[in-house]
Amino acid sequence: MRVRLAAFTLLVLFGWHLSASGQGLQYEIGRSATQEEISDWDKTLDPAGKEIPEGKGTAVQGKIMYQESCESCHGENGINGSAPELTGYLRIYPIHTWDKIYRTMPLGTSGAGERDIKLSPDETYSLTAYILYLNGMAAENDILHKQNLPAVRIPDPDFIR
Amino acid sequence: MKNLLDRRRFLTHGTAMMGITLGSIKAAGAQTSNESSNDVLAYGGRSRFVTSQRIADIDETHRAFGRHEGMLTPLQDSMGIITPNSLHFATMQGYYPPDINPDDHKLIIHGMVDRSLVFTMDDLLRLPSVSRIHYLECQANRPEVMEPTVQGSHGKTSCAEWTGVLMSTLLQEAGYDANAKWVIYEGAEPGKMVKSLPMKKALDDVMIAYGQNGEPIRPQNGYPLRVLVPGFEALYSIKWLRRIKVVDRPYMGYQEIRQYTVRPGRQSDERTPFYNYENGPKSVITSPSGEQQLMSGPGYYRITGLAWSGGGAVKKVEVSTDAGKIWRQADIEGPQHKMAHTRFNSIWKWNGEPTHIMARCIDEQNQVQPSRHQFARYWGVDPDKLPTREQRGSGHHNSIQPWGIRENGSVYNSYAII
Ligand code: HEC
Repeated sequence: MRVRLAAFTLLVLFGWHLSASGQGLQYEIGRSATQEEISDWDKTLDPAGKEIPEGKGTAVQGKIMYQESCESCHGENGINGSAPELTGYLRIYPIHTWDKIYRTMPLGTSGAGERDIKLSPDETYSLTAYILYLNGMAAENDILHKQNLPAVRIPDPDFIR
Repeated sequence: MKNLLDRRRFLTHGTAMMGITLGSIKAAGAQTSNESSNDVLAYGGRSRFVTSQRIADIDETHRAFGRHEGMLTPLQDSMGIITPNSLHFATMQGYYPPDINPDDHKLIIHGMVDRSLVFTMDDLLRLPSVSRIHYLECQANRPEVMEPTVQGSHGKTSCAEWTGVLMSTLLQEAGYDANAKWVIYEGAEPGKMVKSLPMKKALDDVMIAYGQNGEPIRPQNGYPLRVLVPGFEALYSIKWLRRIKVVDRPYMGYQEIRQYTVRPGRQSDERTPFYNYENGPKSVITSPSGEQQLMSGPGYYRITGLAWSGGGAVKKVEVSTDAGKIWRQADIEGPQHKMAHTRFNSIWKWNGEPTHIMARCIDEQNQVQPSRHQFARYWGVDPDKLPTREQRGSGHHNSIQPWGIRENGSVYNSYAII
C-alpha cells in the first residue's frame, strides 16, 4: 500500500495523468488503438445528440438513394418489404433512426457482419429526411442537419410500438 | 509462445491419429448406424433415439428475410441445470449469426479511459480467467396463454458454465476515468446491437466470455466473444462483442429505445423510458408440462423443474398440486449457484382427479415469485389480459405458470384459468 501511494505521488509530481481510481497497467496486454480504428467503429450517438457528425440533406436527395440501396429490402415507400416497415413505426427520437442508418445500413448480409457500403453523414441526413417525409414529419425540401435533427419529436410517443 | 506452438502440433497430430483409429473401427464392420458415423466418435453425437430439439420462435414483427427471431430450448426434456450448447436458446434480430474468424476478431475498449486498447482473441486468452455457471433469460420469456408447451412459453432461458475474463480486468487495464458511470458496448453482427450498463455492475461480476460448457461459445450464442451480465435480462449480454466504450451516461441506443426499455403506458403521465435490470425470482415445472401425458394412471410421479433469480441464489422452491391451496417445499436436486438455474424435484402421488400443478421460487433475498393476479395488481393491469403491451414491463414477466392435469392424464397450459 505504501509503495502504491509513493508511486502515485511521484506520478502526480511529474505531471502524469492518473485516474482517481488509481489503476495502472497490470498485465500490459493489448496494443494501443489507433484513432482511425476507433472512429471507424465509434458511431453510437449520445442521447443529447452532441456526437452527431456535421452534414445535411433533404428528402428529395434521400429518395434517390433510398430507391438505389434500401428499397430492395424495405419496400417501395418503406412498406411491404422483407425488412421492418419504415412508416408508422418510427422510434421515439429520429436521432435513433439516424444512428441505425449510419451504423448499420444498408445491412451487411454475409460474412462477419460488415457492410459493403458505408454511408457518409450527408447521405444519412438525406435518408433520414426521406423517412421523416414518408411519416409526414418533414417537407420534401426541408434541410435536415446537426442542429435541427435532435429537436425533431414524434407527435405522439404512445404511437410507437 | 513455444508452448502454444507445441500444443498446436500435438493437436494436429492427435487429429491424424484419431482418423486412423476411426478408420479401423469402421473397417471392423459397421453394425449399427452409430458406428457408421465418424461424428459420433470424433465429435460425440447423441444416440439416434434422442430427438430433443430447439424450435423456432416466430415473431411477425421480425419477419426480415422470412427468418425467425430465435430458437427455444426444449425445457421439457432438460436434466440437471446445464443446457447443452446445441440446445441453448438464441435470439436473433432477423438475420443469421455472423461468420467470424477469431484470428480477425478484435475488441476495442475506448472512451473515458487512459489508454484506448485493442485486444485480439489471443490477448484475451493470456489474461486471468474465471468460469461461472449462470442462466440467461430473454426479457420476453413469459407465461403465454397461447403456448401449449413449456418450450414455447419458457424456452428463452438456458444455463451454462461460461469462461472468460472479467470486464473489470479490461477496464482496469485501460484505466477508466473516475467520472465514468456507464459503459456501452456493441456487437459485430449486421445490426450492431448496443447496450448501456451501469459501471457499478460492469466492475462487479460481468464477464467477457469466450467459453461455454467447456468449448468455444457457439456462433448463435456469440462466437468468438460475448458479454455475460449475470442475473440481468439477457439483452444486456451482447453477443459477438467488438467494442466497449466508457461513458458518463446511459446512451439509449437504437435497440434499447426500440424494444428494450419499459415505456410509459398510455394511462400514465410519465414520459421517461427506463431500463429493467434483474430478472425476478422465477420457476417453472418442466415435467410434467403442457402436452405431456401421465402415462401410468394414478400413482407416483416426479415433478421436476427449474428455478432461478436475478437476485442471487434460489433459497427454496415450493410446489402445489392442488391449484395453489397447499404449498410444499420441493427438494433441491443439485448445486444452488447464484444467478443460475436450480433444479427442484417433488415426488407426487396423483389420485387420478383433474388438478393444477405449479411451482414458485423464493430467492436468497426472500423475494417470492408472484401469482398472475399479484403480478397484474403490481403493474395495474387486467389479469385476464396478461401478457399485454399495455402492461409496463410486459417483457419482464415472472408470474407462476400452472399446468392443468385432465382425468385422462393429459397435461395442458392452464395459465388463463388459475
Ligand atoms: C439487405 C436488406 C436491407 C437493406 C439493403 C437495408 N436494410 Fe434497413 N433494415 C434491414 C433489416 C433486416 C432491419 C432490422 C434489423 C435490426 O433490427 O437490426 C433494418 C432496419 C432498418 C431501420 C430501423 C427500422 C426500425 O424498425 O426501427 C432503418 C431506419 C433502416 N433499416 C433504414 C435503411 C436504409 C435507409 C437503407 C438504405 C441505405 C436500408 N435500411 C437498407 C434490412 C435492410
